[in-house]
Amino acid sequence: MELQNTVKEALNALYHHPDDGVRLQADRWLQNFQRTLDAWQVADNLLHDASSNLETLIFCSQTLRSKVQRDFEELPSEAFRPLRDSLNNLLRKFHKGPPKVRTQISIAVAALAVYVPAEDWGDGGIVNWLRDEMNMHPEYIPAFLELLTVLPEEVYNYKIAARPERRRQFEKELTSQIETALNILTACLNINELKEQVLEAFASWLRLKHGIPGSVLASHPLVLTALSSLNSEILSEASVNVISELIHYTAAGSFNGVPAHMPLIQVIVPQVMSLKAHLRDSSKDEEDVKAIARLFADMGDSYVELIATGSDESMLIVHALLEVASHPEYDIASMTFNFWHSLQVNLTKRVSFGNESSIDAERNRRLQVFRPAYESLVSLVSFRVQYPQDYQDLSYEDLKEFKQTRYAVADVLIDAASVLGGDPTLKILYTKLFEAVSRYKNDEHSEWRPAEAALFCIRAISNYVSVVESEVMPQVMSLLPKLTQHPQLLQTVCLTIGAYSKWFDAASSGLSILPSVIEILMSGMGTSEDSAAAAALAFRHICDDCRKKLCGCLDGLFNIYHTAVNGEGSYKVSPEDSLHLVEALSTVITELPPNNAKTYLEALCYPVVSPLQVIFISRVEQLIYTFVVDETTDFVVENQEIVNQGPEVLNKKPARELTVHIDRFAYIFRYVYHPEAVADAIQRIWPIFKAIFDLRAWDMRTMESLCRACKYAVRTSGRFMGITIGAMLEEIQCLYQQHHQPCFLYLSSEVIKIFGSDPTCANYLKSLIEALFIHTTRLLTSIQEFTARPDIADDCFLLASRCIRYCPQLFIPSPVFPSLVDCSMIGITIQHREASNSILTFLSDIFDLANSGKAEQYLPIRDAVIIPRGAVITRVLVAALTGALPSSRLESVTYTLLALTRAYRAQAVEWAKESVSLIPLTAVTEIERSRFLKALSDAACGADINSLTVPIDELSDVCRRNRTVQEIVQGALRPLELNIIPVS
Amino acid sequence: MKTRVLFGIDGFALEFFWRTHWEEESDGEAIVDFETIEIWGQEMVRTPMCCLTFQGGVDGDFSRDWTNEWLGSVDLRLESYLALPNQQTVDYPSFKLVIVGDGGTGKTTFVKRHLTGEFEKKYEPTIGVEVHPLDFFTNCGKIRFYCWDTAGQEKFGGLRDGYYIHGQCAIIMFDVTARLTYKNVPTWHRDLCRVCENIPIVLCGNKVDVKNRQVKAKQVTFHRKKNLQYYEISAKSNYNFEKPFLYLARKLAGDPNLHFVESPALAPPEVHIDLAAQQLHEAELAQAAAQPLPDDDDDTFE
Repeated sequence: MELQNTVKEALNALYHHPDDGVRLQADRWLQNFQRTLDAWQVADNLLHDASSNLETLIFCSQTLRSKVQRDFEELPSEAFRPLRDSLNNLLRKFHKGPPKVRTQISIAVAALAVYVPAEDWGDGGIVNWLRDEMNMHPEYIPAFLELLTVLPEEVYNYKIAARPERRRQFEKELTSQIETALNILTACLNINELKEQVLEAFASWLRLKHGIPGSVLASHPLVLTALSSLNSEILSEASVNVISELIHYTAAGSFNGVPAHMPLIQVIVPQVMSLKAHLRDSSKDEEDVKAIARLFADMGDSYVELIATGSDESMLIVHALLEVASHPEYDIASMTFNFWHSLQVNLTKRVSFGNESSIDAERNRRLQVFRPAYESLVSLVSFRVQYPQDYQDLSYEDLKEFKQTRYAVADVLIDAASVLGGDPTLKILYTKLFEAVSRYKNDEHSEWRPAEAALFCIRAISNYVSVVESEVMPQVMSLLPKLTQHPQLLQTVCLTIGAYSKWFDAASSGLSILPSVIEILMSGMGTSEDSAAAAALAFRHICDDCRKKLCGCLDGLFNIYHTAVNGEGSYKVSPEDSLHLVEALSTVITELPPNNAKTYLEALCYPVVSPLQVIFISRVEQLIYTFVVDETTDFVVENQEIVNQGPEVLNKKPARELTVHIDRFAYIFRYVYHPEAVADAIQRIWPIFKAIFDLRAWDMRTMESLCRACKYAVRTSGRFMGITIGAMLEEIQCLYQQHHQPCFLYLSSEVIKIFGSDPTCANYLKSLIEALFIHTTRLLTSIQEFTARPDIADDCFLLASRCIRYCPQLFIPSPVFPSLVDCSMIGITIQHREASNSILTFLSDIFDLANSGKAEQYLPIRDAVIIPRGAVITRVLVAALTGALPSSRLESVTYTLLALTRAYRAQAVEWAKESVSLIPLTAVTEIERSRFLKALSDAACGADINSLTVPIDELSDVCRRNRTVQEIVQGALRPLELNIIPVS
Repeated sequence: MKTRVLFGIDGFALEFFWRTHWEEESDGEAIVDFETIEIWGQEMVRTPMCCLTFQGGVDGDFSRDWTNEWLGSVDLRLESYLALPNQQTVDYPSFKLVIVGDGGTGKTTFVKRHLTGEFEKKYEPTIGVEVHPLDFFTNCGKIRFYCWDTAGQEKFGGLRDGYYIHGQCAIIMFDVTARLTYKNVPTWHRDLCRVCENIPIVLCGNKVDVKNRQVKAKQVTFHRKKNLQYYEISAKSNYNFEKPFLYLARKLAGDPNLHFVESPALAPPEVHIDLAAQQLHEAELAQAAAQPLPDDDDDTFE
């Protein structure tokens, strides 16, 4: 009694007390209460207590439900019958409501049925029992109807701690009873007030999907009722849900291309089609319009293959979907977008079997059939990309939403272009552009928005327009110089130029129009930040695709580059977008002969290096005289001030002021493909880089940027980097000890990839990786350390995997290898997704070593390291599978266990056996254990991963089925935290 | 002659219910009376409560199952209406909002963006539920959402749907960078609807600022269901923070033209979505959006 009162008080506090602290206490108390054995009886008593208020009733019904769902196992088996009777009584008691209490009791009964096999339930299983109860007590029908609704839903409810085997059994039990269930529902149709509830229950049973023959459904009273209620005055939500389920249901399964449920489809489609008129009815409620659009979209998505045949009926659906697509509300119209895409995929896919010519003929016939639909679609959606009149008042978020809309429409246009062909689509869009432009005067007051919209659409389909198109494209391009007055329009003009860069390269007139095109881009860079961003991107595309044509006019390009990169002058290119120009010039320089390239590379580096020189002049004063090409005087003056500021000031500089310049180097090194010239450049710049390393090693953002630049230098110049790379690695090796920046590890990883197999680098690389790994193992000595530094863990084990692949000869025989294996074992159960993946991949790479071919000679060393640790590794992996890691991580853990099993076969199975035998039988039965071990033995004999997935998923499910079980399992498999003293 | 007052969420539904079920059988008349609020300067419908007053001989009909069943839900509304003032310490309309969704989807980060005066309390991550009062200023006056943040409810933690009682609106959160969190949305929705019938719900796809998206906007179709609206948000950058609340406020007030007149004070964004960069990035990805999902890529390494 006292406990009952406390529950009431706690509930009152939880829901109504204004004080957070009191609420918190109440919350904790109630959570603990729900876990106790007492909760069963207390909740039951309070539900029978007439003085309980509604909150108490709802909470107690939820508590009882949770107890059945999660803790049914804690009851003795003879408790089943009294529990069933008590729940049945409660169901009757609450048959008139409150509905929420009744719902929870129904879910509790359903959960009970998931646990208890039909033969133990008695009365022919739950559905038959339900039918008999309804027959005997018609007054309780609403309550039993609710139970009938939730039953199929609970099949897939993983909060119920039932074993997978039993869950499957339950699904079978229900599917075998579908006919009975539908008969009950049909009988209930006679009670008019219950119609909605009956339809909801029907939708719920349809979700079971198996077991209902389509031919039965085609004339089933439930289907007919749902269809006829579609047209009633108020569109019933339940009937919409039923029809939606039926559409999904009928989409499954086909025989010789004809859906198995054709008769039912033929019943559904005309009824849904009759709703079409409502779409235009402005008096309709928005939710009703949404519901109708949903049904059309469902039909389109589900019947796309059928529709793709192009039959007369399917064209009716297509026309209805066109109507939805033309609805003024974007949320409604866009429901069809997935359909247009999947229909396009269906129409354009190439089937590789059968008679080629007849397949082609059929494909062309279908494409022809749908041409008019996609042509209308282009017109119906393209208006949405036009800037709204009040675009200047739009908030940042609304503007972004508008842009998202434009991208979605662009995707639809791409679908249309795939069906119609790019050139014909271009023609349609050009007509719109031409109309808009003829009304547009190139001045500030003219209406620019329609022209911008048409151009945006033209740009969207650029990849589908032939590069040799010579009818419309020249006309489009000749219009562009006239459309430069408005910043938004100019922005789209620039993007269009960039999108058609390949056309410029292929066009016979390309060389002659490029100067005027580049002129437009220059004006774009000078107009607004947005147009500058677009122009910079377009400049990159043009330089990339027309690089051969542009080799001759490098000086002009350099002028643009200087203005943009210096940030002086009139250009409004942001530092991020200026990277496009860096890339652009770099790709053109790549086209030059090596000697020329070297000169131009220097010119490219010059404006990038000089600001850094200014910053670091006190360290690298001498450099200024070796690197500077001209304009020396300017610097000397500025330099004096900086020198006086000293290193303390440099330390305080925001990272961004440095990374802006360093990132440009990264782009230069990445895109100028002249290994020798780049090696030369990095060698000259190295003193500055070293100064940055030395002064800013504590600063992660600067270090990441710098390491990225170094990475690309290494990647491009490879062996030409000679001396510089030595100095660079020495630098990071040394700095890592103090600052342990993860990016030092990824830079090393790049070096390993390129130089790992080079015998001349062996000694050097060996000492590098040993230094890095030894230091890392000293950092990561417990799972807490792993959790605190997941980025280091991540990069460390990625580097280790690289070492296995590229330099096993250095890594595996090294004394650091066993320490790193120990370290990885500590970290297996880290929750961080990436770090966990890297560790598991590292382990499976070790186990898969035999597959790599060249590394076979190291197997004895590996085995000497792994075999003594095998039992522990296996135990931690099993713990990870059974609850130490989230179940979303199962796939990677499973693969690692499979790799271990393939490498050590019987021995690995033995380790696994030891591990699972630690788990008490109360948690995992003998059968479940042996099923898992059998799957592992099969895997050891070469079975593929698929045969392992299901048994592992099931073991995982069983061990995670409720909190008590999970605690038992994890307790048995401990310790997971291995505290190992690292080698010194 | 007896006068009874019924409360319901929707005045039209109440009136309709009266017309279809009682009008002919009773000798009285029904007056649908939307309870109004004066505080807002002008007369505003007090939602979600409006009441139906009717007189006449309808008592006999209450014995019918369906009537009582319906009344059951009405009584609940009534009771929740009476219960709420305990929590209401403000003299303007307030609503209980429940935020649900898988752990790690950013529910707490989202709700903590809003800095109401009384919000500077310390946060303890172990708490099963936290209630945050969030105020918004509409053209019709101030409103408050009591946000029940059920953060950290991992598989076996918390009272779960025990927190949903009296919920008048809800947000279901998923993480666009983790597919599983979207797959679980139907379960959250079902559990919610089993306790709170017919409430407006917003589905929020969080973390759109993160580069590595796993759930594309087009793949989100769950909100085609009734009374559900979808927004993409980024809790860390404040992107679209207000939209879910605006939708809920409009639905609760039954006024599609309601708007916020003043932005709430928000915590400074932790990340910025750079419009220009994002736009170009998206432009280049526009085509990819239609394609099947890519696998996780790691461009720092390859």
